[in-house]
Amino acid sequence: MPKWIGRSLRWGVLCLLALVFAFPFYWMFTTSIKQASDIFVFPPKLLPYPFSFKAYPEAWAMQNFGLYMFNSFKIVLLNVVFAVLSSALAAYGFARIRFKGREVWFLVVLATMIIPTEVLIIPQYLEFKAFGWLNTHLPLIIPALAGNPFYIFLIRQYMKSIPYELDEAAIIDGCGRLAVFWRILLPIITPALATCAVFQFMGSWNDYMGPLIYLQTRDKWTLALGIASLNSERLYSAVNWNHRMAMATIYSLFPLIMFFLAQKKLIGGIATTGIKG
Amino acid sequence: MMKTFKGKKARSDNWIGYLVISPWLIGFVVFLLLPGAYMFAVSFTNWDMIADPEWVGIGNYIDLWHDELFRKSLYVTIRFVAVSVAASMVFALFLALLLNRNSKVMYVFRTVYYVPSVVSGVAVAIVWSWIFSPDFGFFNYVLSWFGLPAVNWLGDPQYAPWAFVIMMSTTFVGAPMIIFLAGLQNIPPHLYEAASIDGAGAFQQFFRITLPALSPIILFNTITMIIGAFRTFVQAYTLAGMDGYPDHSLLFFVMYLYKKAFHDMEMGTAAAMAWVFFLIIFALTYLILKTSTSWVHYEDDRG
Repeated sequence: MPKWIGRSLRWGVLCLLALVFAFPFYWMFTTSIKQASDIFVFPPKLLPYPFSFKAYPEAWAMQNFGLYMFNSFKIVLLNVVFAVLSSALAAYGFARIRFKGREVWFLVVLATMIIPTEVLIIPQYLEFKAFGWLNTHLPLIIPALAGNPFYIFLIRQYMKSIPYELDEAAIIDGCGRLAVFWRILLPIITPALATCAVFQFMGSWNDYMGPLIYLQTRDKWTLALGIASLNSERLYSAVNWNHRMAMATIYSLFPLIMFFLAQKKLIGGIATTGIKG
Repeated sequence: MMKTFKGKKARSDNWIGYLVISPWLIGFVVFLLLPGAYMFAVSFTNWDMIADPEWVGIGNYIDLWHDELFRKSLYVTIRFVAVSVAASMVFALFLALLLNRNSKVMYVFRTVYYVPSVVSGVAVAIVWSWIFSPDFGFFNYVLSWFGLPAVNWLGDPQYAPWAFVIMMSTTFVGAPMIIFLAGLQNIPPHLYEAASIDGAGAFQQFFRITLPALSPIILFNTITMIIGAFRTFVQAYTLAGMDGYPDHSLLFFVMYLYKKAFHDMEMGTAAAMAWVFFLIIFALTYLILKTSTSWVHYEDDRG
């Protein structure tokens, strides 16, 4: 078989699949700017012409999306800071400090990686109810203080690649263990921290089940809940497909931007866990 | 290296070690261990969160066994896990093999294939429910190119599970693809050179070199993908509602668990379901790890 056949076959398949993977995004955006009369036609119109962006302000005004977005950002940012810092601290212990029971606890960290969060929604709900935390943002924020086993693992692997002599020298110079972590290691491990921060951003931003369970009144809602309700209220309101697609576009934009800003680190992070795990 | 710190220093290391892992450790106890144990107790009671819980022994577990919807949800979930994990695994490996060239263009393709995995399930479900629309959907339009009849993808229990598999495949494929790709790039090129000198063809090279070298990664991907597929909730819930319309054909395990707990207020039953869920995942992971010794090939073992 001549080489060029294999080559063009590879390219053909890659391009075709790229079209399939990119199509939902194209369809989401173009539907959002189509005129209402162009949406319900068959065969569907591939090009959104004439187009208009008026579905965006219309959809935005249907619910208090500004507040939802503020709530989402608040929850997401606190999650990122808490989860990344606690994970880094625990990873420091597992990577650098020799204490009794370290290996056992690290095995526990690894074991908890396979426990799906869904298993614990009931007792956690009961627990947060007992704390009086229902319909507040606390159940969505405070657990992040415990860190995340996946990040602990990732940061620990990264720390292990840094020479221990750095810690030693700092300790001889009179640094305490915590100062070593804060002043010496933290600046070096920022690439690993950034990877975890991006993962956490996406996880919290896209989280739907948590807000669905804990947030009852609309003033506490996040974007995920608002957009899902826009979708489920379609039967008895003026919501059209272009409105739903407009909000879905806005909602998807943030994880996409994060992804493109950090794609190298992210892809590296995913690859590392698979290979070393 | 640690020899420099002995005696007193070592004792203070114990203290500081527990100090730095304490946020995780406290979280583990408060948000995982205690709730897990508590849930175990709740699963032996009938409790609607209003009246006092009533002890029923293993009654909830027996009821589950006789609950037709529970079995249905188990069936829906396991069928989805089997089909989607197998399909996504082959698909991800196929893509990784195609992409295993170091060039800028391949990097762009890699990004395009990975992007659907970072977008929220709610948005994905909304877009696909429009693509699968029976009268105006793009999917039926594509079918019409080939002279195939229009199908009510999300309204017919016969087709809805397949529509769902199609929808999720673009979400599921990204992460394992990246991991496969990293694994492929770790295979030493001299293995292939030696093989082709010995006259091994492309197929033989794939089955004799590539697959064995990737086996630890296949193991990792199998476990994470199975757990991921078992957790299916957001997309199905947004698309099909709490009851998995049509005719419970998209009633996934976690959806039924959610419904039992927060809609029917049957905390005992839901807790029992959660334990069953955990045991299934635990048993599957254990089984896969146990059997993996016979097909996973580690480089270090032979050393």
